[in-house]
Amino acid sequence: MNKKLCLFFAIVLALLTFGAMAFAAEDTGELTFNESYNFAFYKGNTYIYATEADGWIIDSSTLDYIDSVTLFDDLYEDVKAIYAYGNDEVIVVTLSFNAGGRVTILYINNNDVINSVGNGIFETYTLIPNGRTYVESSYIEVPREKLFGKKITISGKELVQYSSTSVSGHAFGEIITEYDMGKLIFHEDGRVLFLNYYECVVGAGYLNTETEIFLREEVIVYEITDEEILEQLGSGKQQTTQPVEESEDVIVIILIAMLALVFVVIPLVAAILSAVFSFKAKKPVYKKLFRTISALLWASLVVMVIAVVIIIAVIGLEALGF
Amino acid sequence: MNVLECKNLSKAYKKGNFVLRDMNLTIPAGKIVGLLGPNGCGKSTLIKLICGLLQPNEGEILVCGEPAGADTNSLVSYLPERPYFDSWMKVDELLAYFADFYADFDLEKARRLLADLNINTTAKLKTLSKGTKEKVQLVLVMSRRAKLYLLDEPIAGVDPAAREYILKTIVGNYNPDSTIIITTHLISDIEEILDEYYFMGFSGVIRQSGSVAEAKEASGQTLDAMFREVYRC
Amino acid sequence: MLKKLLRYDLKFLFRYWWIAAVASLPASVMGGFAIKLLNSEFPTTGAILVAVLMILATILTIVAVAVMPTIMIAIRFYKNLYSDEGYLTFTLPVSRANLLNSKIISSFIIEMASVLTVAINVLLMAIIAGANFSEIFQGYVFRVGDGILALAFVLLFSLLVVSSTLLMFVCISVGAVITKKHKVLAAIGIYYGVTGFVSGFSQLFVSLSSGLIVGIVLSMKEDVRTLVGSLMALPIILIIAAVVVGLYTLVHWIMDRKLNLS
Repeated sequence: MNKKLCLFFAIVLALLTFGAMAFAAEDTGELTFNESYNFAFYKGNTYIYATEADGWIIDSSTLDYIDSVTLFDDLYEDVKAIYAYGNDEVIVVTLSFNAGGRVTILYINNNDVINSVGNGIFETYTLIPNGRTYVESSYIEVPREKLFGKKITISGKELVQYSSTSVSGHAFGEIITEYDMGKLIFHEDGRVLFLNYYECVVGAGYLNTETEIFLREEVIVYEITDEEILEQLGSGKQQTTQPVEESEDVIVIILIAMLALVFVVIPLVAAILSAVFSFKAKKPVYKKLFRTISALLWASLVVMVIAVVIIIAVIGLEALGF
Repeated sequence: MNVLECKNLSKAYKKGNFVLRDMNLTIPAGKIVGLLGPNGCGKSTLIKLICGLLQPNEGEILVCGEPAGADTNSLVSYLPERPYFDSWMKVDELLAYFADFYADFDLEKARRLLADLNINTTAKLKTLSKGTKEKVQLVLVMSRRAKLYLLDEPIAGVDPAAREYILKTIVGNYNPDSTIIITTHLISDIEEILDEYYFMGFSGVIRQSGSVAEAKEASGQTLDAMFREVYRC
Repeated sequence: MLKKLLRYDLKFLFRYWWIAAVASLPASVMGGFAIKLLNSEFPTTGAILVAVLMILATILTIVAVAVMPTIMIAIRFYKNLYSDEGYLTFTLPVSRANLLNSKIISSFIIEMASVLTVAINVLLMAIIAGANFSEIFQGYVFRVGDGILALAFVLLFSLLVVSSTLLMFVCISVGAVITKKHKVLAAIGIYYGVTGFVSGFSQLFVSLSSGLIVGIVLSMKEDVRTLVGSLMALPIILIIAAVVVGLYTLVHWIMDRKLNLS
């Protein structure tokens, strides 16, 4: 009996061990790089350096954890930790340095590169229209080609004086949510200009420091020409007031009628009736009371007319520029 | 001077439904008058019109030659059927109230009368019995030196001993120059103190009136019996 | 006579209210400390519970101070004029006008006292809880325009208080006249009917107009906005004053011509 039990346990243990080994033995792949780190290799795929992705929001739930990362020695000795995630489309590598600081690099599968890196590899952009703020969440999403209108150069000094909002890019659907791609600048002449951090200054590569951009003589921007997008974004003119909501005519008529009823019709009718009652009343107390009501209402009507005249005059004069 | 004059007096609570119609009545000063009649003939209505509690539809009421209203209220002392004071008040406070508003209120007399009744003036009115409350009310009304006293059913719902006290108080404390008008059903109790009587019919018609003593002598009947005869169903 | 009537009316109205008013002051002090405790670094659970209960008690006291006057005013008006007490009140040698004036003036006095007391309580709580007033009023400079605006506001507020009191009086009077039984219920029904109608009308107006009016107002310049506000305030005040006199006339007429105590 004891022997059989021992055998049974031994077999179970063996199976568990082999099972664990089998799992452990599954090939998670090894991540390697070329010497310049422009390319990454993982599970037979070649990935090209896309960009530094510091500050990006990366959803790693669809990425596999890569625990076997081989760096070149000179980089390796400076690195104290490496985190790598990847799948068939992207590899995201985060390196923490001994000296402090860290960098996150994005590699994308060579086959999925839509365009050269300089012109953006992102499928859609999120824009914030003029006059709105980030916290309002009133974004509009546009496909990438609509942003790249007419390519022009403009001085940084001119650009810096206009209002701008951010542009963030979406790539690869769920993997990378969004990050700061560039700026939308609202020129006072009504044009909307897209400043792409990847190519705003010739030869500078990725540049998102405002000071560095706007000090330059020549800044590359794309003038957005798509009418629909321009309408949604709003014009370059600074808006400090809310536009008047367009109400239906019927509502306006009802409102005017209600105002007229409360401030004109009812007081007028009441004033006339009070005057009549004050004549007809026999007791002096009622004569006095009705006369008072009548006087107050007539006074309110007169003051209202004067007030409306003054207000119209003031608004009219203002409109004429006085 | 007549203390009360009603000229073509009409009062309707609802349109067309006149309780008093074209009533004419003159009551001289210095009399105790009984205003007697069946339920609904308008006795209380007339009393209320005199006090200014109601306004006539037509006609006029003159109290000591002046139209009935706020000014003549200072000449009229009214005792309604029911207690009319704030039951949270103390008797003392009620005395002060009357003294405040009625220049003719005799505070000492009132205190004396209340003392005779052994009523504690520091007591709250709500602690007093119904009968005691009515006595307090009567004392207040009779302590005024008014020209006209209106007592609406002063002895209804009161025990016989209290009735006697009330009648004694009325007679013992009224000013001979003043007039007291008493409305009541209990004619037999009251006829002894009455000088004059008015049998009032529906719509305020005065069916019979005159001196009580003379009427009793002429008919050989009590006023109560005369009443029953006049208003026989 | 008006002074005498006023004395008795005020005596009635303040009879119980003054207790609540006086009790509210230490309650506010306690409430202030309770708020301070809650805002402190690490209050214990027990302390939090006590603080919350204290604040609740303070709020209830302040609400009582604010609400009691209205209830007392209504009770006084009804009891003194339309219950059996009316037999005494209406046979006093005073005019209907004086009776009504006394009720209105005494009501106004207690309402203002209540507003003042609530303000003092809130201020007391704030000071004890540690509110920094110099920060709140930082940079505020008093201008003549502010004074005029404040006066206009006080006038408008007073008129509104009187008009709401008179509306209550109208409802009680109408209720007393149209029904023999259930006078109070009738009065309450009429009151809610009238206020419901008025608020319904106002709500309809606001819901239809809010966007439009906000748009128009915001599109005006600051000084035009102030001008419009000041100019339109006067006719509104005059209309409200007319409403007040109208309600007064109605109550007076009911007390005078339609009274029927039974």
